[in-house]
Amino acid sequence: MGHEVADAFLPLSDGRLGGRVGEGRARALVDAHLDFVWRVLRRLGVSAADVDDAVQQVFWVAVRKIAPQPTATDEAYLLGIAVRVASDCRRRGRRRRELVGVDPLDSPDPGQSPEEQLEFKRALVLADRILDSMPWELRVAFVLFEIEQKTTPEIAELLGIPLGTAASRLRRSREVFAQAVAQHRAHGGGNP
Amino acid sequence: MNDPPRLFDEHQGDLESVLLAAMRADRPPAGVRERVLAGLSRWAPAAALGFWTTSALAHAGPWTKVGLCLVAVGAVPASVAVVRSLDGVPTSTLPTSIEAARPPEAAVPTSHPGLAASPVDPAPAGVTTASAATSLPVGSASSGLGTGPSVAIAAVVAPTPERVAADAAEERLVASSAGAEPASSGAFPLVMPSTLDAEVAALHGVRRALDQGSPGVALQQLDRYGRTFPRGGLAFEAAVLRVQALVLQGDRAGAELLARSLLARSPDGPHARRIRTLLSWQQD
Repeated sequence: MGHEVADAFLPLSDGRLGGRVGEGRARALVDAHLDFVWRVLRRLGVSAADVDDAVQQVFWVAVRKIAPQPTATDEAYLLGIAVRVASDCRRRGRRRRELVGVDPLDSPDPGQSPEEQLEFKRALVLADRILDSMPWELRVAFVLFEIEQKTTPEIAELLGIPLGTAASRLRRSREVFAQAVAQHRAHGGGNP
Repeated sequence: MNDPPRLFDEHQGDLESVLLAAMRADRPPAGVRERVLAGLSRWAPAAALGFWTTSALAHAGPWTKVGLCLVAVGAVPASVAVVRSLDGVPTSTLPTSIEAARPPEAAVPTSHPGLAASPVDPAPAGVTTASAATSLPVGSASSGLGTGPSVAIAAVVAPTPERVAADAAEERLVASSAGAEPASSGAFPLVMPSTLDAEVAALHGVRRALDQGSPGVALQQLDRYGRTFPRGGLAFEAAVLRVQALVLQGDRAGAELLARSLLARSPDGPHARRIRTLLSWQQD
């Protein structure tokens, strides 16, 4: 394939993004939900190296589709996109999963002391290890409930699953989490 | 149904609460917000042209479509002025960014709940517009006719069965979502971009082909992606994959041309590092 095809492709590869809402709305959307989107992507297993791309994808899709004015459903809408994007990143990232360790790209509160920052990062590493051990469906339920503090009905609606299924996934995910923490303790690990 | 108490509350002071507190407190590093906003604003001028040509093409014959595409290249400044005037803001006071290039809201089909019904129908399936011309800065669009025509002509494509099916599915989803979940209810909706899964799957196939060392197959799949999703939300990602495929295929000139074009459009975007890495690969 030569330049002709590449050039012809370019028109289709740009300009389709960021088109619906105004700058103010897009900026407000990012300001209001960036932390949340970023956190969900990271906790759903998107690596630090990929998370910028993933965040960008989420907002690209959102600004093309989202309502011109802020609505109560903005967060849920972004969350739905983030779960899909994270799922795709996870599949792609299996073969290049980063080494578990302190991630220089994660940023703790700058007001913390070095010791507190180290403790924070250790806790994140351990938490992510535990989340990595969960099946995907359980991980999503756990992150939405325990970290993003959604209710079970909200999770069921977001994921398009029956309420009972959401409750079951949540229960099992909490069991996995509790077992993993217990194992960590049993192997001599205290608080990170 | 009552939710169980959250572990963070149940296990105050325990390891569980420490882990959950850390996960809840995790924040993006400095600079992410700026990169995201920069990435969004870089593509906005193209979106403006996309509206003007798309909505016009919806009601035009084939030769008119070609002509409208040519005219549209020069229409960007006018569209910017119109949009700004709709906002009630003097044209000279706004930056040439997302706001400047914002298309009228009703023109873009949506799958998000709570949107007003669109008074202007979206373009018919398969009729799309070339927005490469819109990579020109807004202020210089009228002087960019030298690149516009060929691009515009190339991008008026025939509808494909896949595109027709995707549009029909999207319309059904939008209709059902609108009926089931008014935005003002504040309820938690299940409304996803209906084609996103298909786009992700298509690009997944491209990556698989690249992983298997089949750049030719990957390029064919990218061509199909471009035809099926002419307004794809993952189109930039697809273009980056095309660079990778061209590198693997040994088309250095093609890869470099496309890569430099992408970098020129988004020098600080989230894909910039990957594109530069690809460029460095082929120079090795």
